[in-house]
Amino acid sequence: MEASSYNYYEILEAHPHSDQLEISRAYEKMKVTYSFDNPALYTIFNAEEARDLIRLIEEAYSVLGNKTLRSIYDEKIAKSLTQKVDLSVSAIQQQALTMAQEFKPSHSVHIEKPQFVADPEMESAMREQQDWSGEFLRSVREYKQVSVEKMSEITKIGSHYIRAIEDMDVKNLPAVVFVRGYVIQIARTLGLDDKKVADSYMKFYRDSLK
Amino acid sequence: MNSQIWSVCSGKGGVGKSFVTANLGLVMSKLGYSVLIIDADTSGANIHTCLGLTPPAKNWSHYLSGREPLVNLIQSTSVPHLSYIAGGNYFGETSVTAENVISDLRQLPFDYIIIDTSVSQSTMQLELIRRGNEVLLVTAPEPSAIEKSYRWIEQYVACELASDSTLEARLKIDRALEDFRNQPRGQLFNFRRYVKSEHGITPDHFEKLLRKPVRLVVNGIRTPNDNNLGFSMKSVCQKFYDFLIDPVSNIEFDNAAWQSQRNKEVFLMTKPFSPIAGELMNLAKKLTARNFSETNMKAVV
Repeated sequence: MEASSYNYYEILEAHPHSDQLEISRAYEKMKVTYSFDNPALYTIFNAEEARDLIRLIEEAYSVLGNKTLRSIYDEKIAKSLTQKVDLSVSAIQQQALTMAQEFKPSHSVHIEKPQFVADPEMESAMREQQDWSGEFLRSVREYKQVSVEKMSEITKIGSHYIRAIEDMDVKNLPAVVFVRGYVIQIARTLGLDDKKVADSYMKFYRDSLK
Repeated sequence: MNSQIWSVCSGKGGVGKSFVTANLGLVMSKLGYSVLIIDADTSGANIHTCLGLTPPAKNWSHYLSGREPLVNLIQSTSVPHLSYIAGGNYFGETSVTAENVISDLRQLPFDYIIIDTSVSQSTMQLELIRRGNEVLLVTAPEPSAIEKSYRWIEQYVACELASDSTLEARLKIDRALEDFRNQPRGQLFNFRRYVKSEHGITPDHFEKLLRKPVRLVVNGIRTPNDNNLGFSMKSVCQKFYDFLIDPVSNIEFDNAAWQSQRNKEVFLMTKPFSPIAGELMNLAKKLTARNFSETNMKAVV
């Protein structure tokens, strides 16, 4: 049975405009319908034909279930009205592969680097620093010209938590594990050794809990 | 008056055709339509039992044999707006044609006329069903009923396709179906394409079937899987014959229905709030909705 002589949408009994979820649902429904223990096939399709149909259904879904392959297929179907087009799965996959290789991002994703003037004194202080208190974290953040809002936007940590971490305001901070996670995030954003910073900070933090 | 004529059919006896007819009629009358139920099952009339009535002396067979006009046969029931014509055994020849029946029926003052048809298919009955407004096919979720439903659908479609209904055309379609079923299905499963390529029959009639599809009612649902049967049969018909049937209703199995049958009661009168009653109400509303066939059947692709 040559599958490409059938329309994949017809096989899945899905509308060409249906979204991916509807395609998946149609596929599930078709698989149940053409499993051979379905009494509705009785006297119409025998076991072998049911297997053929399932194969067709799987093939149809292998294309329509994938957004990229589906769009290639749709294009080919539209073209096939006026000219001869290879609608086989392998042809579709081949085209998808070529498309993937040709694809180059039209603009590279621009990551905004914090603008700051390097200060050798501060840099060496950061290297030497052993005690990472909230206060020192703040001074590094300010040195790197990252506002609290900007920090919050990058790390997705609420700005009130960032302030509380810098103030070591225990009352306004969540459970210990979260605080450690937040500190790691902040340290990474500032380009610091996150493990060293977090370990040291948490020591201060525990002391202030006592 | 131009009454809507609905036929309730089944490929196999005992799937609940008369039960559906009687109770659908009851629901329709509750919706405020005047309804006439006709028991046209000449081989085993039992609508009166489903309605909890004793059979009257004059019945459908008197009409078929030309002894009485239709109007004299109408019996009222205890339900407002609901009347019926009882069935009787009739094995003789009838001079009444389907065309006569339809024109006689259309003159009766009812909104809806629901015909409980016979399981055995006569050409006259097929014609009668074909000329009506709706066709309901009742089936049950069991292999023998399913098998016979497909055979019934084939018969009906053959009749519909050979709409000029010369015997020759009928035979041609019948043969095409037979051949189609027996041919090794190498590449196409599609009956529509098959009749076109092999028998030169134009497939315009398939469009007609699309406008007035067979409405499938699955009666006696017991397992969740049975709920898929209607959809599955629709899919199978689409893939195999390339025409649409409309799985319109799933009626679940209810022991109380059987019980009320035994007590010769009308089920919906004794159990007006059962799930079956709700389902039949939905069915009635769907079928009576204006332009139902246009809105419901959206052609795929």
